[in-house]
Amino acid sequence: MSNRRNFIKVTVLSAALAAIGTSAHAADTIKVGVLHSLSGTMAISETALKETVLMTIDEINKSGGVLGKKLEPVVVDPASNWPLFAEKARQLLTKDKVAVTFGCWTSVSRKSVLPVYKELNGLLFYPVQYEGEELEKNVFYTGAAPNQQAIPAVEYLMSKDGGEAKRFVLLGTDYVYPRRLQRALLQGTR
Amino acid sequence: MPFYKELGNAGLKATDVPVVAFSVGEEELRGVDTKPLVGHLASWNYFMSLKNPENTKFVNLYKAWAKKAKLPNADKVVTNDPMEATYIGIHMWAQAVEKAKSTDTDKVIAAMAGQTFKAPSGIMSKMDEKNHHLHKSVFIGEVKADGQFNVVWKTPGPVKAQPWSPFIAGNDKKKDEPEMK
Repeated sequence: MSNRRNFIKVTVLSAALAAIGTSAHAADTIKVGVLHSLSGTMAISETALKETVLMTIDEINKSGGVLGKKLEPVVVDPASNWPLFAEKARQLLTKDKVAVTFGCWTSVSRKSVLPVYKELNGLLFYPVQYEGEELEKNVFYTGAAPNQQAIPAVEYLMSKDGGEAKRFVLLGTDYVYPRRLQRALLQGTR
Repeated sequence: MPFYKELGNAGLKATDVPVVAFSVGEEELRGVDTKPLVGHLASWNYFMSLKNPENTKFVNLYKAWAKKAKLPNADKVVTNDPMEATYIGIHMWAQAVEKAKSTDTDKVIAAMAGQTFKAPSGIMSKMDEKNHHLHKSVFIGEVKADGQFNVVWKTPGPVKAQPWSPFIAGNDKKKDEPEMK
């Protein structure tokens, strides 16, 4: 009998400890989503960005975190699959409840997640040069717009230092970024 | 990479037909035969070869992380432009949260305006007050045999982003800030 009572006490105690553990955990960290392809064709480029996010979170945590709380990364793998990007983004926002997401490389992946961040009023930081023609409340663009990468390069090639180029060939794969960028460059060089 | 190889096979040197890449950087050149690429150009807002105290810190931080995280070829890791952009973004977001005293999306968006951070590219990086894009310096680098870039040209200072290219008809009527719904 006394054994049984002890057993119940222990169970209750551990349940209480578990509850304390969970609530303290939730209050003490700020969750940060990491939405980069870790498999598939884009993994070669995007894995380094996932590592950069983890490194920077580690750096910030070592200097005390943010608002006195540690940052807690939530890493998912959208696997170079554009519809999967939107699914994983929704999961980060609704299930994991991240405060911010760092992610995407290709413009198709960004276009895929955009409706999710707008609908759920999330926050996405996009770190890659892109074609422009977009300005969204829920996104901060930390990579270059065309006038910060492609257009100056063309101007350089046309300058004396750059060899005064007169003819250009624009090459690119057939998707959003090359098509839209070339539209901007063609009209600019005419 | 096959494209550069074919240029070389066709006898076209970088001095005859210079190629400027907008997506070939240090990571893409890591571990590949750079011979066909030497002398060709790339345009970016950051190169690993830039010399300044912030970049030394950034490169060392990543090298130490690669070892700690046991990344493959940890002794040969490189940094590149999108990595620098990621690094700046997280630091600015953290600063904005401290300023807003909250992680609430709308409060953080407001606090992001005009945030600054000493960037590994050597400039004081600034988030535009309105258009959600960073002001950035532009560097043109020449590919060297070791897969690094030698800067041959740069803008005098940071350039404000124009998400709506002035070269595309109709863009002059578009606002330089997002709809705040």
